[in-house]
Parts: sequence; structure tokens; C-alpha cells
Amino acid sequence: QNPTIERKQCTMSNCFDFSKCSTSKKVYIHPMEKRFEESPQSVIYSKILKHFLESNHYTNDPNEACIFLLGIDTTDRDVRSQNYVKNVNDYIESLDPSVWNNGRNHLIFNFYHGTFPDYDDHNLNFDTGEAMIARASSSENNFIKVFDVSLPLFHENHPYEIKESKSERNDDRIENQRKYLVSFKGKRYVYGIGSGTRNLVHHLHNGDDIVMVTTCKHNNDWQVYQDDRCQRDNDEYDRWEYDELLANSTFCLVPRGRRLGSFRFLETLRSGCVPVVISDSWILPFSETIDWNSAAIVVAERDALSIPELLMSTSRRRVKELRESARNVYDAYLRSIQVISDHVLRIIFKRIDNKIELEDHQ
Amino acid sequence: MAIKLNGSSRSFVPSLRVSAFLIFIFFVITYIIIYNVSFSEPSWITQDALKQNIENLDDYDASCSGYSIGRILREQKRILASVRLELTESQVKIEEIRTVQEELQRLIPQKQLELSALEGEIEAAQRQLEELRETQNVKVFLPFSPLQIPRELEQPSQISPNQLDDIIDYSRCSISSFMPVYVDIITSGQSEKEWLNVFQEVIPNLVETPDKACIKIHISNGIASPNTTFNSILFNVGSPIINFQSKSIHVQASKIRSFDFPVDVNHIAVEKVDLTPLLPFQRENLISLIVDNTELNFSAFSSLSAEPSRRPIVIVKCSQENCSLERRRQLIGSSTFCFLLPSEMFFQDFLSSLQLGCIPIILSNSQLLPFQDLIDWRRATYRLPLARLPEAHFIVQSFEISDIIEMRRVGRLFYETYLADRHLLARSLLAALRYKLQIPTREVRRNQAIPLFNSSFTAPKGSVVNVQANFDDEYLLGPLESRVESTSYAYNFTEFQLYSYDFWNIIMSPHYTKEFLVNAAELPTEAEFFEDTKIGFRPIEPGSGAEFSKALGGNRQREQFTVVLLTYERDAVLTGALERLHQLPYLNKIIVVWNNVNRDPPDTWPSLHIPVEFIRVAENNLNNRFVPWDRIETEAVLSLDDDIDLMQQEIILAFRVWRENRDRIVGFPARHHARYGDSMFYNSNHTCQMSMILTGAAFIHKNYLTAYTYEMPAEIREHVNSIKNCEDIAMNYLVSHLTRKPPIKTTSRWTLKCPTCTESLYKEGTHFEKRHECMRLFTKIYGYNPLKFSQFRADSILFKTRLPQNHQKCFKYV
Repeated sequence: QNPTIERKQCTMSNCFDFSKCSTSKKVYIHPMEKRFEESPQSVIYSKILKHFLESNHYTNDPNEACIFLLGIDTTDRDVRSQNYVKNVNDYIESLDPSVWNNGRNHLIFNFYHGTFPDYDDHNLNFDTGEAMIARASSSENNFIKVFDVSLPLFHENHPYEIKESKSERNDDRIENQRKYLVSFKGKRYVYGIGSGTRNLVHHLHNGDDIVMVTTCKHNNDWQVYQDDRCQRDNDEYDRWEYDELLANSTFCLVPRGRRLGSFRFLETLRSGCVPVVISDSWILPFSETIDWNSAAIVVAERDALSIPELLMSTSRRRVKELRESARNVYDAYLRSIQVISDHVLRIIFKRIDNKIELEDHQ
Repeated sequence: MAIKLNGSSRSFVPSLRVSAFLIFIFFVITYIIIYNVSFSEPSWITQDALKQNIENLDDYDASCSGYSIGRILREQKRILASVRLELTESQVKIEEIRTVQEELQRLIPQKQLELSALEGEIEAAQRQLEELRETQNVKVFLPFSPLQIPRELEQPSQISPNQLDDIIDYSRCSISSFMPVYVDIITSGQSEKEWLNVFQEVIPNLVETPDKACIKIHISNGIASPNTTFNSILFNVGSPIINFQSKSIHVQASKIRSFDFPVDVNHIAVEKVDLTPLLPFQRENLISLIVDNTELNFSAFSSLSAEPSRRPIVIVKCSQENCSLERRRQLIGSSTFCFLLPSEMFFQDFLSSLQLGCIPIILSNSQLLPFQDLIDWRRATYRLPLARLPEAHFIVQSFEISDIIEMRRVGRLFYETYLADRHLLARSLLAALRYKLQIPTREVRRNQAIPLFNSSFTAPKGSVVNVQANFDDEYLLGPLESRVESTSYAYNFTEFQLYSYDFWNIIMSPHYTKEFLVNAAELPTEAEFFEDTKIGFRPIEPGSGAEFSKALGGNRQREQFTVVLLTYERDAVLTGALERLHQLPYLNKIIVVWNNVNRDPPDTWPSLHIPVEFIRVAENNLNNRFVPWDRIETEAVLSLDDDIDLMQQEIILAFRVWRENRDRIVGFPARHHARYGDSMFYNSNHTCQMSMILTGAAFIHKNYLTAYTYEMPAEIREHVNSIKNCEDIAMNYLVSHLTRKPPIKTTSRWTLKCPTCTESLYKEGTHFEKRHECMRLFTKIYGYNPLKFSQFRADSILFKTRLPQNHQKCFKYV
């Protein structure tokens, strides 16, 4: 394990070379040599790179590039994970130092950081230098505002490309009649971090329009740590269908997992359910450009028990607005890997444009 | 869904059409109102509505969410109930956990100590491993044989030998030979035969043929051996032989060369004679001087008697008639100082002076004294050139009484040790020879212990001891290191030079090579920090009690002690005593002396962290307590009664105190001697001055067990055995006699007996009577009471010191 790497407190003005972007905003991807391929690159990173490679921002000339990407997969930095790539440091050392330039103008993608038990180590086990990090599960403590980019967590089978920007939508009347006010089906952890909310949502469960079911089953050793409720919980858990709940709930609980972000967030949005985020200090995806107040409800972890009251007191009009905004945000920025990848660039380009505009103004 | 307004329509009696119309209008208005309430919320309606009583909460959707207040409240109540239930359940669980936690909390200090002890053990084991590696690198091999120097060519036999090397062929006397000695007689008189017997009894490594011997002793009556060869001793019982070319070492009164032994063997007593006590100090005469024959004018002597002195100065001119042996002894015995002139009678008068406690003042610088290159006679005599005779009375009168008594005491001791009878003289001669040739004696396993359980010293069956000792009231007492024996026979050669003086003049025991040495030299304390000298040291880290308890420290390499338990009847008491010693740090072994010869022991005894060895003895004898068993492999011996009840920390403290005072008895209850009327009494009253430590619980150096068993006058042991008492008094007498130091008392303990133990030897009414008697008898045997007083006791450094919070005492209670 690497010793703790102190990350420089960067801003766009001291860690980004705007001059590289003054004429054009091209994206360069560092070559990936065979010798660094320990294992096949993750599907998700391949897809992201593929998108950039095929986009019209791409250039194979580092000299004309504005934004630089690494050819090596940095998405999974959990040292216990199977997909953890050990030789990132070697890879970076092998790069042309003038191009790497201590990470300046680089964008590093990351979905998982830290490891059991506290997942608290936010450094990626390699020196990111002055690079921007686009990451899921950003927390207020490690996220550099207007420099890093907060990413949503998505599966590798998230659609790569959807041309249509408007998804099919049900009639409002049908939407109004969703069977469940709020639902949650997921794991709770009998030990370790991230269990707080998940362990108490069973209080909210009424088996009717509020469905909160959890299972203790996770890893192989859960039985060692199981509590009195596990058996009851597991039985109830099996009675409900995950997708059915998403499709038929007005609100869907999105509590933190081991890490702050979860796949559930995007899944919830996709199924037209309004996310109720319970994940203290999480920086929501693309929060730099998306106003999530209109598309999601954020509840502090300590207020989890008053969620039914909160939701039941939310007017139909507000619910309608939330639903529509959530739909729109998803369709606009999150519906496919392409859209997500593009939006990352757009956020950075917007910063560049703002800066240039500002300078012009002066 | 709707709010029931309290307004009602009043109908009068119109026509049916009008009624129908009115009803229609009413419904329309109602509908509008309801519609407005549900969706448009005009302020006037809400305000108006709030003024009304809400009859049914289920009808009131305050936030237009589709959920009534009632519904929300019910949901909240349900959640509250659920949480409350969990809270109650949790409360019970917390109670359970708290109980467990408290239990664990309580265990923490003990577990920490256990951990600390284990860490200590690991560290100790690692250190030992290192030390073993170190010793494995040392090559051990037998020494080469000494050189054989071809002397025949070098030195024609006519030339007088002038040093020992000229007459010794070392090639016959390897340092590993244990000095084989052959003895025969050249002339066959009665005296020669008697001496032959004496030598045959005394020589440790006697050989039958001269060619195997390193030393050949020829006993002769004034006749030199016809064919003198190398390495021979002419032990002359006749008149001195004058032959300076002789290649024999001569033992005779005069005509002596540098390597000869000036002893007039004919004056050595056949049997020990009674010696005069040291006290009272004052004698009838101050000085006696016997003048046998002199070239000087007798008046040169007689004028001395006219000198002013408090007591008479007696000058006697002797001829054969008026100076019988009795007359001479009477004169010597009644004088404080005996002026001795070189003469034929010198040796006889010299021995008489020592026996009778008259300080020999030798009026000659050339007069040779027995073994004078080894025995420091200055401690017992005073030498003056004859020319100082007129000044001599002044000199001797200037002596402090204590010096005079000390000279008297040491003279008596030299006499008793080296010259008192023929056996002692023979032993001294052999010792002097081996010192000159530097040959260690064979290891004499005189105290080979006999195992109690057939061929085994340890009990066939062991019982588990549940006592979690070593943590004496939350204080760690020391690491449980693996067993380590004290280095034995380490001074085989330094004995001959570095320690020669001590062996002959202080320990007074040069006859056998010693297993241990009581006060061997110590390294400078910083040696424990140098790579090549630190082996075996256990330095104490900087700090207070906690660090102190982790290591032995002190001025010497780490060591352990052996417990010797004397037991007779009480098996249960013994079991308890053994169990109390479980996990005691620095303990090497327990030796149980099974004094009950008529009864076989039970098969099962507690199994401790170290071996418990049972020794079978031939008779129930209290002296068995102090036998230097070969099974004792440490210098430190903790003598214990089976019924004592000491805390482990008391034992550890005493051990640490003993390590700095290795020549003392270090123990717990103190006793003293006191005089009532005109007799000495043994006294166990509480007192501030003590002179004895009970050996029911005391640390004693193993060498003192050897001294007790072999060097202490046999009458004392016999007395102890016959009255079944006083072995402790005897040991205290012995050690004080040898060291002239009192024992050391540690801790506040005044008695040893465990409260629950009942039967005891000491309940006997005659117990004290016997002990008074022992003291008087032993005093008579030694010629004085060797006990010394002590007025302090030893406690640990921080005992009763106020300490800052983060410091710990050395021990909790002592």
C-alpha cells in the first residue's frame, strides 16, 4: 500500500493550463501499452474511452490537446477488489513527463476508492498530481469544488448510446396512481460502515404503501454477525420485487452504501421514481450543473425516521414537479454512457468558457 | 376528502320547481366550494375553514398531498411504536452487553499484565536464543599437554635448584590432571606410618604408582631419598636435612630454600586441642618473652621488663630444666603478646600462641612462617626486627583492643583451618602445592542426591495449579524466563592468583575447587550496554516500578534461585507451599527434602512452571536442610519451611536484596541474642536490633551450605541433629563468623507461620530452652559469639515514597 499521498489543493486557475484550450478543446488519450495490461480493462472504462476516441473532440496529438485522459483503468481503486490495477504508478512513470506534466489538464475517472472497513481513504493509491478527478461517491471532505467532477455510479450495462433525448412517459394520471408512496429494497450491513440508515428503515415499513425491506445477506460471513431481526427481515425481503417496487413507487429511498454513492440513484431516476437521498455529505452527480433540489429530496441521515411524514406532506404539485425534473435530468445528462461522458467534458468546457469570457470582459 | 362545513340550507315551503331549483343551486355552490378547497385554496376559504372545528382528521389534507393529517399521524404513531419497541429491546440488550462489558473491563488490567508477562517471556526467550547462538560459536577443546623441558642437559644435577620450575616437570602435571599424588615412606618409623595414613586419607587424587603421579610425597625421618627425581616432596619428620642440591621440595622446620615448606611437622597436634576463647581480653601479663639461647646479652632483654606498662612484662631465660612445655604454655596462655625469637622452639611456641590466643610478636624479619606466601600472617601476628625490641612494648600497647582481639581471632582461625591437626596440615600442604602448580581439583560430587520416586526426582503425577500467580495484586513481579543455571566452576584458575588471597585468608577454603564464588568481581555497571559484555545482563529501562518489574537489573548478569523446602509430615501444607510458588519469577527449581524417612510420599504433587524435585535422605536430620545438593544449580538458595506464607513480591524483593549482598543471609523474621543476668539468651521479642534471620525463609549462598556441611565444626551439626533444633542459629553463627557481617532483614514481617497451620515443632515448651542452650554451646565452640547486630531493614527504593500519578512503585506492598 502506498503511503498517504497529500493531494494539492487545486483550483482551475492554479492547476489548469487554459492556454492549451484557447484555440480548440481537444481530448488526448495516453497510449496504453501491452505490458501494463495485467487484466482486461473494465468494460465501463473501455466504453468511456471508446466514446472519447470516436468523438470529434479527440486528437492523437498531445500538443494540440486541451484535456488528457489515461489509457490505464483507474475506475476501481479498492485494493481488495479483483479489478484493482496495481501498476498505475509504473504506467504514469512511463509517460512522457512533458505530456503528463504532473497531471495538469488531466482528467482521471474513478468509481471506487478506499476499502473495508471504513472506505475512508480517498486517495487513489497513486499520485494524481494536479489532475482533476471525476469520481463517484465524492464527499464534501475530499471533493474540490469547481475542479473535480462528481460522477454518477452506473453499471457497465448502462446504455452506451440513446439517441432519443425524451424517454417514454406515462400519463400523469397513471403516475399519480403509483401503488407505493416510498420503497426500498436492499442490503443492510450487520457490521461495518454505512449501516446506519439501512438498519432503521424497517420501522417505516407498513407493508402497504411504504415498503422497506432489507436483507442481512452480504459477503459470506454475514451469519457470524447476524442479529435477531435478520431472519424476519430476510423473509419479508423475499416477498418484494426490486424492479416492481421501483416502477410502482412515487419516491425511492437512496441511502448510502459502504460508499456514499450507489447504483440505485440512477436506477431510481431511470424508473421515474423520485430519489430520496440519505447520504450525508455526498456530492450529488454533476451537482456543478444540475440543481438537484428540484429533482430529488435530500434528507439528513438523522432525519430518516421522519421521511414518511415529509413525503406525505409533499403536495401533489411538488411531487409532479419533482418527477418531471427527475425525468428531464436523467434524459438530458444521465441516460447513457455517452451522455454522461460528454457531460463531464461539458462541465470542464464550461469552466474554460467562463474563464475566457471573464478575461474578455476585462 | 372534503371538509364538512357547518352551514346548512334552510328550506321553506315553495313550489316543487322552486325547491328543485334551489336544491340544484345548493349543490352547485357546494361543489364549487369543495372544488376550491381541494385545488385552488383561496385564502378566504382556508382561513374560514380553520375557524371551523375539524371533526375528522381523516378528512383534512393540509398539504394537498393526498394524505390526510390523520393518516400521517397514524403513520407517525406506528413508526414511533416500532421505534419504541426496538428501544425497549435494545435497553435489555444494552443491559446484557453492559454486564459483559463490565466483566471484560475488570479483566483488562489482569490481561494487560498477562500480556506484559508474555511479552517479557518472549523477550527473555529471544535473548536466551541470542546468547545460546553466541555460546555455540565457542570452540571447546581439551588443553594441550604442558611442555617437557629437557633439563638434564640444561642443568647439571650438582647445581642447586633455585626456583620451583627447576625441580618440577610440568609435563606430568597437566592442568586437567587433577594433580595425581603418590605417597610412600622412606624410613619406617611409627611417625612416618601415621603420616602415611593421614596423607592417604586426605589426598583427593591418590595414585598407587609413582609413574602416574604429578607429585610424589616421600615421608622420611631425616634421610633424603637416594634417587631424587623431579616432582618429589620430602616430608621430613626428623631433624632438618641440609642438602641444597636436593631436587625434592623439603617440608621441615629449617634449612629451607625458597620453594620448601617451613613446617616443623612434629609439633602438629595429633588430635585437635581445645582453644582459648577470644574473651575476656585481659591477660595476667602484657608481654612474655622466652629467651632460650642468644648471642645477645640477656640484659638487653631483661631491661624490657622495667619499662612502664599497666601489666607485667615477663622475661624468662630458659634452660632445658626450667622451661618444660607446660611452663612455656602457661606463660604464653597468661600473656596478651608473645614475643617470639627465632630458635628451635619457635614453631612450637608459635603454634601454642595461636592456640592460647596470645598475639605472636615475631622479633625477626627472616623467620619463616608456615605457608607464608599464601597465608597473610600479618593479620594475626606482628613482625619486628630484633633491633626494635626496646620500642616493642610501646608499639604493642598502642594497639586498639579491637585490633588485638581481631588478631587473636584470625590467628585462631588460621590455626583451626591449616595447622590444628595432622589431617589439616596435610590438606594445607596439598592445597599449597596445587596453588603453586595451578591445578584444579576434581569436581567432588559429595552431595549426590538420591531421587525420592525410584529413579525420578519429580513426582510421577502432577496436579494443575489454578492460582494465577505472578501478578501479585496487579503488579507484575518479573518475566518468567526459561530456566538458567548459575555458571559453575568459573574461577578454576583465577582462584590461584586473582582470588588467592581471599581463598586463603578470608574464605579460608583453598582445598577444593569451588563451584561458585560468593563475592566474585562484578563488571562496571555500564558493561550491560556494550555489545561484547552485555550477555546475560537484564538492564532496567528508564522508568519506575513498571520498568523495574520487567527486568532483573542490578550489578550482575541475570540469575535465578533454588527453593529448598524441608518437609516432614504435613503433605497438605507442603502442597499449599508449592502452589504459592507457582509462576514465581526467577525461580529455577524447587527441591523438597523428604525428611520423613519412614513414609513414602504420595504420587501426586502440584506441577509448577519449573521442576519440583524430591530428594530422599537417609535420616530425619535438620542438617539436611543445608546439604549443598548437586541438584542445586544456582548460587542463590531460598531456604523455606513448608508452612510459611510469604507473598511472592516479598520473595522477589528479598532475592533482589540478596543479589547485592551475596555474603549475607537475607530473610524476613529477625531474632537476636540478649543477655539477662550473666547468661546469653535467644530472643524473639520485637526489637530494633537484630542479629539473626530465621532460615525458615531466607536467601543463602550455596557456598554457605557447603561451609555448613563441611567446614563448620562437626559438633555443631551433631548437636543440631540430636536436639532437632537450632539449625538456623548454627547457620547464622557460621555466616557471621565467616564474614563478620550481620544478616539483612527485609520487609516488616516478624513471624512466618501461616495462621492456618497447626502442628509445629515450635509449639514445644522446651523450644526456647533448647535454643538458649544452642547459643551458649556454639559460642563456646567458636571461642566467641560471632553474631553481629544490625539496626536497619531493607525495603524497595520507592517503598512509602509519594509518587506522581504516572509512576508505579517497585512493589505494591514492600
